[in-house]
This record gives sequence, structure tokens and C-alpha cells, in this order.
Amino acid sequence: MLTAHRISASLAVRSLQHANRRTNFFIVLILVLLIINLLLLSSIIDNIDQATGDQIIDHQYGHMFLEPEESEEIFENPQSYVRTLRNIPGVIGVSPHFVVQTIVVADQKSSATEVHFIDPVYEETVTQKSRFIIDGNYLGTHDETGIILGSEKAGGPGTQFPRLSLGGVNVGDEVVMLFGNDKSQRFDVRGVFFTKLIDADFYIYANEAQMASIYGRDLSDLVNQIVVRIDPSLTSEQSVIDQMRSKGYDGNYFITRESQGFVLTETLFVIKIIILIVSLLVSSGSLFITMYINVFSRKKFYGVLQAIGVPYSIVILSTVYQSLFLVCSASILAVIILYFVLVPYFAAYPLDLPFAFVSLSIDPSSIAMSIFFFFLLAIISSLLPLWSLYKNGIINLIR
Amino acid sequence: MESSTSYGNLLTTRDLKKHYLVGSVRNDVLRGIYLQINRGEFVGLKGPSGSGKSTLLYQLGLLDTPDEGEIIFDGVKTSLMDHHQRQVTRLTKMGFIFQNYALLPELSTLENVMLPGLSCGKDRSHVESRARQIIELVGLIGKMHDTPDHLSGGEQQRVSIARSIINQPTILFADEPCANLDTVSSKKVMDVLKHLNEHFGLTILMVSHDLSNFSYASRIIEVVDGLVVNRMK
Ligand SMILES: Nc1ncnc2c1ncn2[C@@H]1O[C@H](COP(=O)(O)OP(=O)(O)OP(=O)(O)O)[C@@H](O)[C@H]1O
Ligand SMILES: [Mg+2]
Repeated sequence: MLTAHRISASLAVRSLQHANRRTNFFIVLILVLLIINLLLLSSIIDNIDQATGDQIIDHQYGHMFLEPEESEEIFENPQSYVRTLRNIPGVIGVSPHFVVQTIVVADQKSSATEVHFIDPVYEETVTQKSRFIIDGNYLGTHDETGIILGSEKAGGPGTQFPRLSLGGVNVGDEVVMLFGNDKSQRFDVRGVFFTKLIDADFYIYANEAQMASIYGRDLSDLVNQIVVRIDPSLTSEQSVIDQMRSKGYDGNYFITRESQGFVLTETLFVIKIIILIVSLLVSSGSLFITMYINVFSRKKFYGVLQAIGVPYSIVILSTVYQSLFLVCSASILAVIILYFVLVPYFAAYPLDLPFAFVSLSIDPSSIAMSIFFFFLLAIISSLLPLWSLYKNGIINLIR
Repeated sequence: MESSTSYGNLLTTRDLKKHYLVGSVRNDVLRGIYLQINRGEFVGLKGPSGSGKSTLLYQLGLLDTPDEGEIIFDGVKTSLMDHHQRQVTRLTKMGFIFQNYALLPELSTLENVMLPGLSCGKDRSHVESRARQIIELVGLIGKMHDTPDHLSGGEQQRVSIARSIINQPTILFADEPCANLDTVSSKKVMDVLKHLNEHFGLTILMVSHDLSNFSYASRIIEVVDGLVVNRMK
């Protein structure tokens, strides 16, 4: 059997050496394109999903957030929640929020909206607002009357939902907010941020320092949402939740990736499956035709082998080896192109999608899967024509 | 099933028939061939073009299957052989020489000749030394590592002879081995065949148009219109 492998392998090598270099090159090129085609779109879609989650984490909720039990309006003893969260290894940022419905009255328009009272320093450890200010500044610690708001809420040129906006407020403008307890308060617009995440771009953040004059209390005991950032390499959201619960800290815990963007994730999943099926069909078809032609163009070779009585096992093996060699070279080339050309390219020039910048990260297991699939398909698609060649009869092959 | 005698009847056919269909037109090429070939004979096969000589040789060489009739080779009815037995018989007991040489263009002289030997699972060094001997016998020692496209027609045909005898077959079928060759090359090829017949007792059935090649033959069979018309000594 070893000799059979040896003969098959050397026949395969000789055939490849003898075949036109350009033919081999084109076959490999086609295979490379097919493999990349199979991987590229699905990984871009994976990344859209990933990027959407990242956006929500960076601009709204952190990796996880918690709210009081249904029956409660606010956390009882929020400071101890915050302190306990901070002490869990792997938690890198905790920011308590007091979220409240207000009516914001600006010069141009007024609009019902939610305001998040935050501690600007704590907030920066969780979300990334400070890095996405397009006009003005982030909230200063002692800036009691300052607010920052998203570009959609601010309104003005280029906003997607002007009807929901304040009609174009700018840095330096004054707005008045009316609260549920009949208090009203004047604020100064310090900055406008733009995150590309439409929900986040409707947010208004105000400094907690102003809470006292409205509610007589501040974030140390008036909290109805706590957002948390973790280092995913050190801990998981679930583990943080488990640790909190085990210490008796009840509440509604949410894992951002699981509870947000569900519709998008599902939609993308369906699109991904469709694209995957289509490109699988296209790839299989093209690979099949390529291998088929490659074998069929060597009719005479197979006729002669048969005529002189070379065992079928050797003929089949040598064909398989040849196909494997071609797919192998193509796979190596495709992986090199993906990792050294496409991934760096998308890292440098991410796709500018409406809700996020999307780059390319490729999951090694899906590469392995598609290459395995290609190997399988290559073997099948070179053995099928061989079989039909053999049915032709020897004489018709060597004529 | 192995024939115990080293002389006597090697190949017999009875009422061998073969037709081809071209579209709906039926062409009865072999119409009932009876022939017998003994061990050690050098038989010439002649006949007009299109009379069915090549077709007959393909049936005898197990490259094709007849519609009707029987071929008994070395005491075995070939109609009873399965695919595998036919392949093994071709590999180990039969040699075939084609008008167009049918060498593998990707292999060198030595590799072409060694291939059937290795395919039997024989020891590599043994096959190689035998291949070298045979290549020397057919006068191509200097072209050992050339591929067929670097050889003349006569040289290629001698490579194909060398390949056909590497496994020491009992019979050699040659279909117009000299058709594409000049007189000098033809003579070299014919000398090799004669040598194999005389010194190694190889049975040969050779188709030729050139009657001068039949001077080596011990017997000539003539095929006309798909039938054997006469046998002469
Ligand atoms: N595969 C085929 N399909 C259809 N007809 C065929 C086929 N092979 C041979 N024939 C026909 O069978 C007849 C006999 O062909 P064959 O090649 O056996 O003749 P031949 O005696 O060898 O002729 P030549 O001396 O020219 O080589 C011819 O008429 C040929 O056209
Ligand atoms: Mg012929």
C-alpha cells in the first residue's frame, strides 16, 4: 500500500510539473478567490454584529447594567452596590445613573426626553462619550449646570430625525428642563457628541451636582441604573452577576450583548445564512467545474494508465493528491491574503456603515471549516469526472 | 486456472463479434472471428484499412469487450473475468504497443518503463535495474531521463516496447508499431521485437500494413470485412 501511495504521489507531482504553469496558476487563483469569497462576506457580517454590540457597550450601557427590581423605583443603598461592583476583579468601570423623564425647552423647540444624571469622572470609566464630542467639551466635574447631548437630540443640519430633536441647539445655548416634581432648572449646553449609534445620539447627560437643587438628593442615594464595564479577558458578565447575587444584591441585571440589538442580530443571522448558502453554491459549482475540466482535459493520461493496467487505486489516489495539492496551495495563499492584506486593509480603512465602523476579523474556525469543505469538494469533484471517464471505455480515451 | 504448459495454445477466439453504432448506423466490424495463437509464435495480422484489425486487437488485449463470442487466454475465459482481473491480466500478462506510442508525456523514459513494474507492487530497486536492462536492450541507454517530447518517434516506440515487457508478459500485441516511423527506425523496432520473440520466447501478435515487416513473422493472419479469410504458414 505504501508503494501505491508513493507511485500515486509521484504521478501527481509529475502531472503538476508537466501541466502548463499558467494552468496550475489559474486553477489556484480561482480556488483562492472562491475561498476568500466564502469567508469575506460572512465575516463582515459577523463583524457588523460585533461592532453593533461594541457600539452599545461603548455609548450606552457598558458590558452590563442593572436596574432596581420591578417593585422599586430606585436602588436602596446604591453606594454599596457601586462599591461591591468595583471590588469584583475584572470590573474596570462602574457608573451610577439617575435617569428621569423631562421636558426640555430650547429656543427653537421643546421635546420630551430622558436625562441621565451622571458623575462625569465615573461615566468616563464605562462609556466613551468624552472621545466622541464633535463640538464643545465633555462635562467638567464642577460644572454644575453643564449638559452634553447627542447630535440627533441637538438637531440641526444633517440629523436623521429632526422631528425628535431640539431643532438645532448649539454649544453655549441655554435650555430649561421641566421635571416631574414641578421643579424646573436652567442648563448650559457644553458639548455635542456624535457616536453613529442612533439611540445613543438622542441621549442627554447632566452633571449629578445639579440634582440636589432639584431633588434635594444626589447620586449617592438616588440611582435607578448602574452601567458597568468589564475586562472580558478577566471576567464575564455572568460571573459578575453571579457574584453580586450571591452577596445579596438583587436587581434586574442585563448583559448588553444579549439584551440589545436582538432584532439586528437575528436579521444579520438570516442574511448571513442566505449569503453563505449562495456563496457555497457558487463556490461549489465553480470548484466542481474547475476540477472537472482539469481531470477531463487529461483524458489520454487516464486512458494510458488504464490501458497498461495500472490499478485503479493508484489512479484515484494520484488524482486526489493532485487536487489536494491545488487546494492546499490555494488555501495557504488565501489565508496569507486574508491575514496580511485584507485584515490590515480593513483595520486601516474600516467600512463606514451608518451605525458603526466595521473592520474585518476572521474567525480561525470558520477558515478551517471552509478549507475543510473545499478539500472535500475538491476530492469529490475530481473523482466524479474520473468515474465518468472510466465508463467511457479505454479505447475512447487513448484514441 | 493457470496453464501448465509452456508450449501450445495461448490464445483462442470463438465467433468473436463486435459492432459500433454511429448515430443509428450499425457497423458490424468483427463478424465472427476464429483464431488460435500458440506460445512463442510471431503472428502477423494484415487486412485492408477499416477491416477491423485494431478492433480485434483491442478485444484480445482486454481494452474493450466483444458483443458476442469468447476469448480464451492462457486457459481462462476472459468473459468470466471481472474488472479487477482484467486490469491485473493487462498489467502482468499482456503488453500492448500502440501506433501512437501512448507514453505518459510527464514521465521520463525510465519512469515510463518502470510504471507497470511498480504498479505490480514489486520492489523498487528490482524494477529499476530491470528497467535499465530493458532500456539498454532497446538501445536507449542514453535517453534514460528524457521525457517523450525529447525523443524521436522511433525512440518513443522503443520506450513503449520496453514498457510493455517490463512485467515479462506472455503475449505482446502490437498495432502498427512502425506506421509512423522511417525505414531505419522501423528496422530498429522490428529487430527489438524479433529479438524478444527469438531469445525470450515472447508471443507476438502484430498488425502491419508494411508487408516487409512480416518477414519476421512465423505466420500471417488476414482479416477482411471482419472475418479471418485464410491462414498461411
Ligand atoms: N469507436 C468507434 N466508433 C465507431 N466506429 C468505429 C470505432 N472504432 C472503429 N470504428 C470503425 O470500425 C471499423 C474498423 O476499425 P479498425 O480501426 O478496427 O480498422 P483497422 O482494420 O484497424 O483499420 P486501419 O488499418 O486503418 O487501422 C472502421 O470502419 C471504423 O470506422
Ligand atoms: Mg488500425
